[in-house]
Amino acid sequence: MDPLVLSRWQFAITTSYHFLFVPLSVGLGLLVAIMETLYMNRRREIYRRMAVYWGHFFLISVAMGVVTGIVLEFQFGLNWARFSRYVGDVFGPPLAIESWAAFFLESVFIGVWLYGRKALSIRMQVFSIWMVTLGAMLSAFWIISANAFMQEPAGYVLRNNRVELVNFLAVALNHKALYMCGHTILACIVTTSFFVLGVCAWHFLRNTAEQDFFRRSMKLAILTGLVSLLGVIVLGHFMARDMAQHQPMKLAAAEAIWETRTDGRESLFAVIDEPARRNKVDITVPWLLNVMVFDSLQGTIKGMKPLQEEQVVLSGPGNYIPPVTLTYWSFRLMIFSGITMLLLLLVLAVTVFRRKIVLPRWFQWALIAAVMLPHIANITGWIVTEVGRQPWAVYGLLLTSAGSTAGLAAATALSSLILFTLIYTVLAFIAASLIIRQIKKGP
Amino acid sequence: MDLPTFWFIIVAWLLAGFFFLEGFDYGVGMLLPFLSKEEAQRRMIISSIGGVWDGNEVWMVSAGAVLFASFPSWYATLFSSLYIVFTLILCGLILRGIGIKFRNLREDHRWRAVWDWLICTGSFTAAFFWGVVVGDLLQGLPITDQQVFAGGIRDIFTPFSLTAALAVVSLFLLHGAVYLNIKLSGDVLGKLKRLLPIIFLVALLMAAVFLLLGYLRLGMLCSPAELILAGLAVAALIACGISILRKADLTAFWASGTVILLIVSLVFTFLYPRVLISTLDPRWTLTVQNASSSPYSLKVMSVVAIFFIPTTLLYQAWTYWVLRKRVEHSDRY
Repeated sequence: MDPLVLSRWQFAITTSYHFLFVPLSVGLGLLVAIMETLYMNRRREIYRRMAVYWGHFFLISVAMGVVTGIVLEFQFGLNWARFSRYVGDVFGPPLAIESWAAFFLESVFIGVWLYGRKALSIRMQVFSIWMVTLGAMLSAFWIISANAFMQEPAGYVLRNNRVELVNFLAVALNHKALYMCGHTILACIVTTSFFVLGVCAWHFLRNTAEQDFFRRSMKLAILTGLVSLLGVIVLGHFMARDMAQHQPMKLAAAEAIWETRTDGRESLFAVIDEPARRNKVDITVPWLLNVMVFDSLQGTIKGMKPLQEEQVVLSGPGNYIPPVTLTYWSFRLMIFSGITMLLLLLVLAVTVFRRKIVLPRWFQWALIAAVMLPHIANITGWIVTEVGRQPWAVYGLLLTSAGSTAGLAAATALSSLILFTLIYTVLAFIAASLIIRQIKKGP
Repeated sequence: MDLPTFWFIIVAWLLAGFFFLEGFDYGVGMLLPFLSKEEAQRRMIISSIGGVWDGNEVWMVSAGAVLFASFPSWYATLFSSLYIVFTLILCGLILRGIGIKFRNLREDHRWRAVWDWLICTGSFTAAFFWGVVVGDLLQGLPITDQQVFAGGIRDIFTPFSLTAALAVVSLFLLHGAVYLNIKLSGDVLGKLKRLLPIIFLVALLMAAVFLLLGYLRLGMLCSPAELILAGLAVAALIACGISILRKADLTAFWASGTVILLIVSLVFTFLYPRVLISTLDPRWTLTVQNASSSPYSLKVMSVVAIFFIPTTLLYQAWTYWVLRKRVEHSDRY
């Protein structure tokens, strides 16, 4: 087996596990911080109990997020040594700053928040959990600004066979990074909201004691979920516009557009024949694509074929088309999950806030199933971003195949891949079992 | 002082901080199953590091990220050469990290017993293989002119690097033991105090063997600076032993911490200006100059670091102040 392929799998698997838990830890941190603040200001026991109950899930997800995150940081050096050498000058500083400005904040305060209850005043306790949440969000910001450099390189020059930093602010405040960061953090809050909704629905179905507890939790989750999801959609729209301008190949792949398209047809279902570079079946609706990308009925989306030819002129012979089927279907799945979540939240908002109306049982079950929706959207969203960027590691500058560690033996790469996958799978099951126990136990 | 040298010192300082802080919580992790079989006492042992170990581990994360940012070639070559070593460190870190967080989440005897052993082996694995990294940094690796590792497993695990690994493990054990000595209370202290002299003697022996082997095989301790640092380290270690005997618990802890700081300083003094020694050809050795980032990049980070590093130190120190009390039997988390 090719060590390059193994390294890519390892990165994809570790990142996916990481992002299964990180959104929950970011969102639950915020939720717990809000609940503790409510308790501090209103001194009502229910808010304290809510903080404790949801805090339990928070701790499980933080633990999983941290241990999977460390692997990601080391992995650049382990499997992607040539990438690290090539981009370290630009890519490293956001990571280093992340560790001082964000990760320290999160980790130091989580310890004192958890173990300092006896020693701290309630004010300092609430301050600590807000610092944890702030740290988690700042952390997302710096990591994503590093990632944005791989999507749309900015603030660099090519010198000494590598990219060198010339404008730090252009990297840190890369417009791509700002969109992505907002989109991602809000998606974390949506993920958490749906988790809370699912747990609440389970308790309503079982008719457990604590109806008031879960009704309050549900209201908070509907509010945070709806506001964040609208934000996710608006920022997603800006990202699509940005993609059309800066990463046209990724957009063309996400839409399975081979020839340049001016009539704005949006594909709903396509059977893609990648080797032949055409779609066997393509069911489309008119105008929608142009509305999504350009806010207008007019617009031209370049196809993958002309883009491929342009890239060959720029970068020499090679295939510059990403895996189309995967990108296309991931994109559709993400949008489908997003729309479903929006509909669910709208229905919920209307019913729950009009009080008396009781939700039908099938709808409660739907809410439990919907816990998976944001996770599907998260993972497929990252697939569009990262797979759609292929064959580049750094868009237009460094091919993924030129970034892997030279001389890495296949057996070595395979054994670490198996080891990490095994450990993560077992741990994910254990974490899931702990989460389910806690759900059943109730507050 | 030029910028790359400044950042070399920052890297050394972060690693020293990491070894000092995580040194004791790795030590505590390794000692956990041996100090007590009773749940209440084990819980006290976990609680002694529960509130601080997350923050300690960030020192390692920060060292890694700073290495990446300030010396990309050093980071890339070191990590890819020691692929197996770092993979095992990561596995150890995952298991102990999850163990510390998960063990208390279920009231189940077997559940806790399994996690306690995983915390122990995870801590040992991480400590041992960090020791191998230290050994390999000192002895060098077969690195080609393309900065590619051209050796095998025998170039990584040598008698010297294994000695370094055992020395690191035993120093961390000592550091963890003297930390517990200032944090615990009640019956569990008795067992710890009986073990302390043995742990100390093992640490003293391993430190001596490590320094001796370094002198014989690598020509360490040949410059006055190295000699002074090594001398001070040995003196601090002996001071630690005397403090244990005299029951000056806090002094013993600071003394063992000083030993760790001095040994890390010795390692980096020996290396400078080299960062990764090539055993194939001295011309291929990575140095502070040829492995560093561009001056602009280092300048940006210097500005950010001057603000953030002191701030971070302040609030981390504050959490140690908040959690300064000895852990008592009645504490529940």
